Amino acid sequence: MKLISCHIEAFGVLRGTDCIFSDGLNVLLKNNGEGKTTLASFIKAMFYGLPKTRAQSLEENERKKYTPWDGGNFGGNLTFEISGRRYRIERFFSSKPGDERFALYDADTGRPSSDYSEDIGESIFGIDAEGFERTCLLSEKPHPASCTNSGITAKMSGTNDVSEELGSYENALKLIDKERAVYEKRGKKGLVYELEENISDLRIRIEDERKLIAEENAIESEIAEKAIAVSASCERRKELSEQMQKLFEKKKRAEIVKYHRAQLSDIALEESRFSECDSFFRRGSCDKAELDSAEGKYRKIKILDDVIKNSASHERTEKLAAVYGVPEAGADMEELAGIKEAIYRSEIEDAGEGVSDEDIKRMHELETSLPGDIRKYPDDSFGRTFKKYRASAVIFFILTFISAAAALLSPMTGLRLAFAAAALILCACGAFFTISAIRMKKTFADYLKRLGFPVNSSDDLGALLEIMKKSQDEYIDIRGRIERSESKKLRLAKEIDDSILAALNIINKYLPEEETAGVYDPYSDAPAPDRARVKSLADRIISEYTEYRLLSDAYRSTEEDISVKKGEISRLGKEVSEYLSHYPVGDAEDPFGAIREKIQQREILINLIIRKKETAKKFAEDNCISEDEPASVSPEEENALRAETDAEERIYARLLQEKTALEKKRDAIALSTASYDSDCSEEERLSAEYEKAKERLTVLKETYKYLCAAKDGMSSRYLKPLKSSFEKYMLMIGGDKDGKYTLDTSLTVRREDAGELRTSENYSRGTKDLFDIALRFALIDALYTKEMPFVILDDPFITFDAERCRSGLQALSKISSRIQILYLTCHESRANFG
Amino acid sequence: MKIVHTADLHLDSPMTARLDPQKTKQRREELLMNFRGISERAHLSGASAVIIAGDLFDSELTSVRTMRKVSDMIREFSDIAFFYVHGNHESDSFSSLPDLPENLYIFGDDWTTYRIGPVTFTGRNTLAPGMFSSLSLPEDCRNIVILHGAAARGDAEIDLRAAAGKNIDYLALGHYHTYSALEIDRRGTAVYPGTPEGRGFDECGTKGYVLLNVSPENISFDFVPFAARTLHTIPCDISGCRTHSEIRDRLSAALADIPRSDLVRAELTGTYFRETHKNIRALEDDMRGRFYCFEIKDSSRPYIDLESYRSDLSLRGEFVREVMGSDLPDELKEKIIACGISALAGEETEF
Repeated sequence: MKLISCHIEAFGVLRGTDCIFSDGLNVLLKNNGEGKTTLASFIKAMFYGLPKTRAQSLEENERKKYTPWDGGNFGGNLTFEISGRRYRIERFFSSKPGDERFALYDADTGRPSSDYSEDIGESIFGIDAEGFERTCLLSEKPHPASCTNSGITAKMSGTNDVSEELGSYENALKLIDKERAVYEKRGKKGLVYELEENISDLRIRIEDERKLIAEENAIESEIAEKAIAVSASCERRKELSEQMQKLFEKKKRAEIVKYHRAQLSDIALEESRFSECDSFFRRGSCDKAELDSAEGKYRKIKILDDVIKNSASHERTEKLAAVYGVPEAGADMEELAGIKEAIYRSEIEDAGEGVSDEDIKRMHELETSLPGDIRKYPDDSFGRTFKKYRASAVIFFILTFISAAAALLSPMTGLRLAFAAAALILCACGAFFTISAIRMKKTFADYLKRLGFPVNSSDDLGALLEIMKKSQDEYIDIRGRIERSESKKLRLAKEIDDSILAALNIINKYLPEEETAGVYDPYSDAPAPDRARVKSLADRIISEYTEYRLLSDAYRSTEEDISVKKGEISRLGKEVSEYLSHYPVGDAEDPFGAIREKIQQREILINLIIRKKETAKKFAEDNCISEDEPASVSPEEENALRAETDAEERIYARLLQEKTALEKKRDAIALSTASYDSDCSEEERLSAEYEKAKERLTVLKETYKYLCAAKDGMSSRYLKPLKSSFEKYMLMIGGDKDGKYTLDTSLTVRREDAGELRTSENYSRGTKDLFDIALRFALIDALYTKEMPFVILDDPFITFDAERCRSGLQALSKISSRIQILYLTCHESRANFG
Repeated sequence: MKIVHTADLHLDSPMTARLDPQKTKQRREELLMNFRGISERAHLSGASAVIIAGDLFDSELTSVRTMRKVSDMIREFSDIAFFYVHGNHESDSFSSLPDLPENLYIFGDDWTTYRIGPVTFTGRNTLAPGMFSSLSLPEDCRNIVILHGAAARGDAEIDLRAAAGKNIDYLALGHYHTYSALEIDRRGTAVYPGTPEGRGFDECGTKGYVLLNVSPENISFDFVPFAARTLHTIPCDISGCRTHSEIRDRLSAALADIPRSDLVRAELTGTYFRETHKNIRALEDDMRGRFYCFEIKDSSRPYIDLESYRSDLSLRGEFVREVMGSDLPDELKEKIIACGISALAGEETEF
């Protein structure tokens, strides 16, 4: 394309100015301040308008800068040709961008044209105003370090929708950056780092938990070993307890046997006494009838002797007849003799009654060891009561639980309180029965311990009850025997007393009152009659009656009878002597009394021995005692067993304590490792999230990288030809044949000097300007492959030396053959294109 | 004679299917009960022996309580002989427990043989090169050898070529968690029963144990499915779906035949359009209640017509060509392209 003409109505210093442009090189030599730059700016403004800015400085605010100094219609028109068609642009500006006017006409027909809009510059050149300034318009403004902008880049890369594309690129990078910042931030932040940290912490925790689990397992093994040891100790304790129980049984058995042995000893003693007593009857008979007969003979002898001696004596006979001469005397004497016999039998029976000292001792032993509570409960009632207590406690606690649950679940406050109160009361009742049951059991245990039975806390109450029952049965048995014996003795005593009283009644008939006074007075303090005295009186009156009978008979006898009587005395005397000779009575005053006593003693002993033998036999049968059973237990055996039991108890307690401690430790560890599973799951989850985050980050980074690479790729497509073009112009304008240059995507030129790539900043102003001019032309060649634009050069060689300036002008001449150049300068030396 | 062959129970192992703590605990209990169930089946079917070819426990961190439970279970079935070989995941903690049941037979580090009637059970805990050279088995017996490791016809821990001709009727193996059978020679077969209960989604499919039937002529065997729950990884191609509902319906159809008691991982595959709203969390929430455990692995990719970018002069085209021309893995390339295109479109990056 080419400029044809322009008319400046009013633009900066220019007013009513017309310019005609020719093909090729257009040189405008004007002094400073005559509007060269303003013309260049006007041409640009026609195509691109004036930029909208709020900047206040003139350098930055072209609208302000070029507002006509003298007022007038701010703007003008420009005619140009493109693709064989001519157009006329009319633009008028104002201080307000919104008030601007634009019009496009077909220059040939004069009609308005809609071929281009207000953005005619972008449409024609394909770059924005800035890009235009960096390529086609070399003004007096300072040149930026980089010649390119996104518009140039886009145009060179050949993309459509440049601004949109680049806008999306910038936005894309921002989006990716924004998302990347979530995953990764400076200073060890971001999701990836956080996940890494969390996973690391979690792994450390998991590792610690694993160690704890290993420790827990080791402790579990130790607990298992301890449990085995505890179990073994328990078994051993049970064995020792059984041994102790057997020993206790053995002891009890030994006591029973000992008791039986004592019974047998007692029997032996009685038998020995019997033997001693019986030895009295070694040569003689112990028959009472024989004794009575012999004694009768002895009395008869005495009487006959008395009769012989006192045959003439009536006095005695009369005296006796006075007492015993009554008809009922015989019957009374018989009755009295019967009573005497009855008393005799009762006394024998009474002597045989009674309980052994061992039994009494045993009963006292059991009495003192039986605890008070147990006494209250006969037989099995204790066990029943204990079970009742226990059942009651359970029931009360169940009711307590139900009440408490009801209290928790009740919707109403009042009901809740009522249930709570009920629960408290029921709980108290349950506690009472529990304590009572425990106390009862403890009492049992104490009782058994006192008896020497080893009691463990785990012993069955049933077994304890059985032991107690046995002891109780034993006590009851002994006590029963004692009571029965005492009862019998009382009965016998009463019988004897009744007999004595009956005898006394008879005696009182035959003896004077003064002789029987004091024997028995029912109104006195004495509870019973003087038995010995009554027996003695009974003997006396029987004897006297016998004497009376004999004397009566003897009194009636004659002289012939005396020799008969003497003969009888002699005969009877022999018989009595014969009888008495069998007994070791010696010179006893009353041999027959002595014999009678011995007979009675013998009979008593026989009964006693029989009774004791029966008792001992029953005892042996009831307790299955055998002859060779031992009657004692070795104390060493018991001591050794106790010592072993105590030692085992200590071992058991220690093992239990150790096991409990280990279990507590294990439980504490288990609590610490309770979250192990969830930690492992969490670690897995976080690891998966981490991998995903890392992958996302990698994708984002790679995407960013490849987007930049794509942009650079697009740019670098044109860099090679651009570089060639630049070198061509460097040679053409600057005469630089050997320079080695590089060009990057930001169109920064670098020259290799002294082994280093140096930017234009390293060179003089003139060389910088040379780089700039060469690059602009290179850009124009690259940007405009079809339709070449015009180029406005506002004193481009102002910093060049003369030689370079000459080269530059020559180059411009060559270039102008294909590109319309508007060359503006203020100095002739720089306008010499010759 | 009947014999049950199992291995790789990995009792007390962490569950690799991501379950909540309660279900993790439940699954661990199910694994333990699985062992009991196998023992019970053996008892009910009149089996004389149970072979455990290694990895009964998961690690040396297996709790002593679990080991004791297993010991008690073995003791409970005192009419069955349990033959146990260590696996690579185990220490000798179980063998060292006090009071092990009498019907548990443990093997040593060298060949150890037990016998029940005409059947010999030979095994060893440690594998060594050339170990088969010292193995001598009677020809007239039915010989079962028990090992734990990787077996192959060639250079492997258990070289089946070396096992050939050793009168092995049945090589009871453990190590691989999927059922398979390999021929040793004309006489014998090497069998992996697989794990009887899957623990993670790398152990999908039917699991169980192997039931052997020993006759005077040979040993035959069958695989018996026996797992409380099966794990499934179900692919679901969502290509062509344009809405979330379509994806959900397609997924639902793919999962129609899966029992409720099972664990399911649905893997979304294929491509989806950029405008399709794909809400993985909503899909998981919809499906979760249908199964014991449900999760989604999203392997689907946004649809990108790479061909269309071949001659695209825009930045997008340049970008696509740059990525395709790189030596990155294809899957990564796809993701980068999807991300870049979404970003260039000003949308939330999807890949």
